[in-house]
Amino acid sequence: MHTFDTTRLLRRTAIGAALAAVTLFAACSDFLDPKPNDVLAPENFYKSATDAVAAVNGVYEQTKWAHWLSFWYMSDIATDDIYASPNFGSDGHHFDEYTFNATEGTLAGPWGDSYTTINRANAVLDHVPGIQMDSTLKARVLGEARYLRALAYFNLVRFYGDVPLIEHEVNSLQGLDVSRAPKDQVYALIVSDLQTAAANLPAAYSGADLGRVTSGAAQALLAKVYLQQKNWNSAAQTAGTIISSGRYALNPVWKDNFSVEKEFINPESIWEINYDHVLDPGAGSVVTLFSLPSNYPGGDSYGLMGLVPSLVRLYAPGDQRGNHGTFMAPPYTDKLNRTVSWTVPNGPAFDKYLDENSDQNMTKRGWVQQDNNWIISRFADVLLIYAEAVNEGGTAGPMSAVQALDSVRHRAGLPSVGVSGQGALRDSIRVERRREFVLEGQRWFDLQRYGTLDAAMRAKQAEMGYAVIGVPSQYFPIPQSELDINPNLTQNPGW
Amino acid sequence: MNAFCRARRAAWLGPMLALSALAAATARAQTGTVTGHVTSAASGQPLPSVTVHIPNTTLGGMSDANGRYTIAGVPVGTQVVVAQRIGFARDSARVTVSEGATITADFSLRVVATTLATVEVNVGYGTQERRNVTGAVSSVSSEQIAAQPVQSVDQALLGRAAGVQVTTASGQPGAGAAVRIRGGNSISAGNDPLYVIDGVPVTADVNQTNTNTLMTQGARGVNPLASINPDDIESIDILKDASATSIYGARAANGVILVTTKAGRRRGNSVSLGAYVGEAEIRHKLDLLNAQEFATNVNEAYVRGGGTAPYSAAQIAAFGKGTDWQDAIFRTAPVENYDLAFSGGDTATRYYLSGAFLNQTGVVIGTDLKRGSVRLNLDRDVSSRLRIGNRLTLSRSDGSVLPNGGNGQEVSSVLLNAILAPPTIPVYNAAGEYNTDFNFLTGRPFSNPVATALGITNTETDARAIGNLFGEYDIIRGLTFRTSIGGDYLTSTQNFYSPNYTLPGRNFGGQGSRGQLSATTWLNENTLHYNRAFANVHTLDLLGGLTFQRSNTENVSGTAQGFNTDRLGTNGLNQAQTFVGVYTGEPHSSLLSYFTRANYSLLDRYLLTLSGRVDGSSKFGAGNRYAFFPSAAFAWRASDEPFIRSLGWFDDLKIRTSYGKTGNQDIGNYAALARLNSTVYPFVGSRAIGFVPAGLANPDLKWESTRQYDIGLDAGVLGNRLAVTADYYDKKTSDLLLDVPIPATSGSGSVLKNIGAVANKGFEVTLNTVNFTGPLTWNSQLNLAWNRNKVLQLGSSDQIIAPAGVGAGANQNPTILQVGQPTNAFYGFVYAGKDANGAVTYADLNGDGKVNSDDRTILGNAQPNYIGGFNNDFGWKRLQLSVFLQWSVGNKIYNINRAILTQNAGNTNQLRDVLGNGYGIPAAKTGNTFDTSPSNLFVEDGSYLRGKNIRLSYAIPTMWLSRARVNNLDDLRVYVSAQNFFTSTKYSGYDPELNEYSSSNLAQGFDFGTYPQPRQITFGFNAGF
Repeated sequence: MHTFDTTRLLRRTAIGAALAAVTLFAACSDFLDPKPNDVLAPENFYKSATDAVAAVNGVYEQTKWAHWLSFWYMSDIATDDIYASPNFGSDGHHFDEYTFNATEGTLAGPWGDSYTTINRANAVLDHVPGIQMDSTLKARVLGEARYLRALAYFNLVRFYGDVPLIEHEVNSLQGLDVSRAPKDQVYALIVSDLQTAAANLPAAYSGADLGRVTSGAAQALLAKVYLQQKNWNSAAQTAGTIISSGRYALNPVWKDNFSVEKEFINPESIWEINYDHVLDPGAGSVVTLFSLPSNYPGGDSYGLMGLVPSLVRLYAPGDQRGNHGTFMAPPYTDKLNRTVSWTVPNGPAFDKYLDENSDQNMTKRGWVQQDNNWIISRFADVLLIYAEAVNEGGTAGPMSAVQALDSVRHRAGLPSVGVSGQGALRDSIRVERRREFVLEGQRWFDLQRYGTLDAAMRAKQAEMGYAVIGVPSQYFPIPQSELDINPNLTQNPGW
Repeated sequence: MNAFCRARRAAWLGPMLALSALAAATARAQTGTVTGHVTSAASGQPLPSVTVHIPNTTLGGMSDANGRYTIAGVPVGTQVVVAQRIGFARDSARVTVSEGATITADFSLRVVATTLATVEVNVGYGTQERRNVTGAVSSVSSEQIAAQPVQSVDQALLGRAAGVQVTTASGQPGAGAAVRIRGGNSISAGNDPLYVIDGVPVTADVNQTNTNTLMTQGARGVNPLASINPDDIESIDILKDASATSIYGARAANGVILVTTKAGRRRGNSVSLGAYVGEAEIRHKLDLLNAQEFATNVNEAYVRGGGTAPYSAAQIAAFGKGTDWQDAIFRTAPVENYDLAFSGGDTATRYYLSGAFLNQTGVVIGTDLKRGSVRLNLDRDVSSRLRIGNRLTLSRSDGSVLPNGGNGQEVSSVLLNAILAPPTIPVYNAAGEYNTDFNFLTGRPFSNPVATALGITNTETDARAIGNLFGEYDIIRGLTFRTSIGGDYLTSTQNFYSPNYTLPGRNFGGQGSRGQLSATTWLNENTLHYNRAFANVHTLDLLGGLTFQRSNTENVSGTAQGFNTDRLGTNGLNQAQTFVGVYTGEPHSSLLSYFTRANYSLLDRYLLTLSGRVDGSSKFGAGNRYAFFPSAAFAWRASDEPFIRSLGWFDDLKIRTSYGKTGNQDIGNYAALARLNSTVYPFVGSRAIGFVPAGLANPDLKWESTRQYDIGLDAGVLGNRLAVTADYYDKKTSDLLLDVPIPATSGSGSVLKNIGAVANKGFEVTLNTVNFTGPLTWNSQLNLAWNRNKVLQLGSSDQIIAPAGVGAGANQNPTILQVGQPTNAFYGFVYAGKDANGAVTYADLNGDGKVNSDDRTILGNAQPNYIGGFNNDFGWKRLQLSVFLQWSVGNKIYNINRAILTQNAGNTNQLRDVLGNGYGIPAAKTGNTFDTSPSNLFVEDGSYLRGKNIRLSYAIPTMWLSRARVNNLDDLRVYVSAQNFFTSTKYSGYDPELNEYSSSNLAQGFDFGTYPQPRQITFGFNAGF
């Protein structure tokens, strides 16, 4: 009997222990608490100056993607400057011929990338004011976020017209179906952001911060915003302020604007999107290999684009921006004494983004492997904004419209313009802008501002032998994929 | 509370300690022994391999060669002893056991014709006799698995079980397969069934085993079944309806596949040895242009495109046929496999010890898979009440995977490059090196497929241990406690190195990446099981359990580029000029579950099953972590009703019905949490790290749930020579975990929501017949399954266009999700002939006078109308022949290969069809881009009938063996077999059995440089000692 009792006791103990173990497990609700160890949560971020700077660094990163390929498909290929070669995919041809519609996948890129930029900037503007940190640095960080938000909205309002206006970080799934706000409201935010940014950003950076946006960058963008709004006085005044500041000057050698070595440190540079394939591997620039002719030695060259012949004819002999500047004509001998000829594109090809002093450009070109920057503002742009604004009726400041125009012409190796009268000067300023800024994200916006987008595209379509259909609208279509999911969005008339 | 919670770390020790204590305590329990002799009623000869057991206990044994069996440790009292063996009628006897006595119970079994594969069915946390199963469960036996030389078990399931669709991804050695049980329920969450190997759930999710190396180029992923040696498998049971699956609750909506490995037998020792060697090759090549035809075609394209013809007549004449790039990359590929297993035991201990080695080369150069595995399964009866044991397998595989990343600018798809490569270019240049010279047709250096296949290192090495330790204790008669600690430990190493002469390495001066991860899942399961018959009228079987599971992964990967030498490959990342990045992560998740099941049987005729599971998952929002998944089933064994029995029609007739709810939690670990992502931006000379919102979180995220209704019957007639199992089911999945596009103005593209619903309805039937029983025997197994899938709701919109990323071009995304349609619909334009210039035009379907994206329509669907498998086993004397056919009817394939091989733009090789500018092929012209317009020109009928396996084997007479002085050899069988020995299909590509985007729910049925399935012939033997 004694044995039996022991057995029963042991058995009970064992069952008890098992049940206790089971209960112990069940009682611990934290067993299911996910508690990620390898990602940050917003609750424990936005606490320090380091966090504030990191938050705004992320806005720069998205600004880079918002000016990626799709951006210049829209701003430069969909113009009378550039045509798509047979090597280009169908989207390039659609932009070239202006035969795209709202479902063109490429169109959704700048739309989404711009709003992602805006959301990141909004996150900075929402969270950073509450951080205990040095007030100068805080003002700088907020200024950077405002500049980058304004740049994103400026691209959106020009491409699409009325667009949803979002001023705070989106952190709820409610209320996502936003409507389009009138252009004027969007411009009001852009102007106020840029004014605040210009007042709070430093004039220059040094060390590891070189490459951030400056007060000059904010003013240059503001001048361009006023110009696009045809607010000639404010455009002339803002551009005039930059000119008077003496901070910037034209590079004596035009091609230095595109020198990898001189990025940001040449006197003409105001702000650029920086590419560095070593610091940021896998995300370098691709404009060089996209635009070089198809069998340019030294690595990949896709030959996707050619220059419309009538554009090439605009460059007089001796213009720095012509052969060996904006374009190269076959056969072409480069700095490494390589003579190159090509069949794609058929005729002159882009030279602009080939820096012959860059070993990477000349011998190691590969996908996302170039350091060539994408320029947002340079001093020549400020001068031509000034010239246009003054010629259109803005009050002149430090110089006349002709003087501003001539300074750009003289640097290029051209004589003074030698015309007078508002109309003649207008034509001269417009042609100078065109020669100066091919494939710099300017032409489509210029045509929109001039109101000549349709006429220019008809001329190109006729010249290139495409169906002459002009353009259906002064704006791009809102991406169909966005209309499909947001019932409160409307399409632009004509699309 | 905290102290308690800290204590839980050691809590699993509790049950183990309890068992240890019991082991000592119970040695002197009151038991007796049952022994006896089993013979065949027909011949009177002893019957070996008869399972004799005491129902509702774990007591049992197997008759030896002399038909003798012994069951020790039988509790005193009246007991029922059951004897059963495949091919014989089940028999039972009632005995009264007294303490210390040995009782005799002899059986004489009657032969019945039956082809039922298994008698005992694994139903999850226990087994049940098939005749008593109330749910829909299919089984695949070890014989069926052994009949076919397969590298992983999912391949063995193909065509073997009704309602189980297996779509093998490709012919890459070690490739996984998309397994769908009764259709796909989910859109954004996983559709893979839950795999439970000897009680250990293992992940099938490739994404959870991604090391984040560069190896996105045809990543093989970790196929959980590939770590299991098919020869070790005793049976695979597939739980299909809600009653069967709801015991696995939250992970069961896609069905459950239970793999049981072999255990040793109580008496004697046996050794089995098997080996096979074989060769594989592709079915056929594509009919592509030769060099002369190609050059002529290019000239035509250039001239029509306004350029000048690049090749002169003299050049063309000199080209001849040029390079056949398909011959350059395809080969006849040998395969060899060896396995050796020892098993046996005495009255108290059973063991199964095995090892296997597989070496398979791929039919594309540079691809292979080597796998070695060992297994040890031990069972020990510590006392008559306590049993302990383990199941453990260790495996290691080494595979070289075909780089296959699409035909974009920077990836190196060997297969695509091979079919597109100009035949005018030789494999090697004048210097004898791989030809990667400038190719003026594309404007880029030539991406040489041979260089890519052999030059790129793209390997995955996995070492995996899956196993558990368990103990079972009979507390009182009928009540058993079981506890187990299981684990799945995986280490995976992926290496990618692209040297200077291949893409993408050429762009970077060589590019290399290595990633490693170790993933651990541990699991503790505790169950109480009570089984008792009352008054021989009521039988009650109750199960209750509690399990904890936690999965942890640590991964690290590094990528670098710009190497002085390619010779060190991924072992020399430190000598790179540029360090692209290092990634580390530690994703984890946990699951806490309670479950219960009750089986009640009245008069052995009316069977009721109720089961349910409460699951808590860390993946969901704090308020939605727990969910309850109940089910109920009822079955009526009509054949035991006197009025039906008196008809004499049915040997067996059981009607089943069930209803229940199961769930799906197969999503990312942290989808319910707001998180920040890190970014990099280069300021001048400094690398600036940023943190940004990682998209919108959905704190309300909860389980996706599937409700399923099933009605079925199991019937046997004509002395069980014809056995039928048929089921109709109706499933509705709601609260879909759907990745819903949201307005980009939010800063994100999409968010995971519980939105939408999908229905799957279907019918499946299995027919087992014994056709001949004479000297020539012939058995057949036929299974057929029809599934109809329909999207019921997608949230706010009626359709999602291009929900899956497919293909290479910007417009190449021909899929749609539309309410009222099945998932996996193809979407695009309808061909409307060619215009005067020979350009392809499309139909203006809405009649608005222009052809634009509004004219797209549904072009077909990747889901089949029905699938089937038909196996025939013939026996004549010592010869056995098995012929296994398998088919899929009505599924469409979107052939992207054909799209790019008929675009006729004069820059890549093309199908010979372009020569006549045949149907739907544009006139040759540079700049043609029609391949990027999705259209019905590329949608092909993917139906096929395939001779999946044929095998002829011969059992060598033992007489010959003894004459040859080979003693101790009980059995020697030699065979020859062929896989994919014939294929009947209209599909124009390499092979209709494909699934390029195997892990995508939404992009099924695409051929895009997909590694084709080969056909194979093997010779082998099996020997038993």
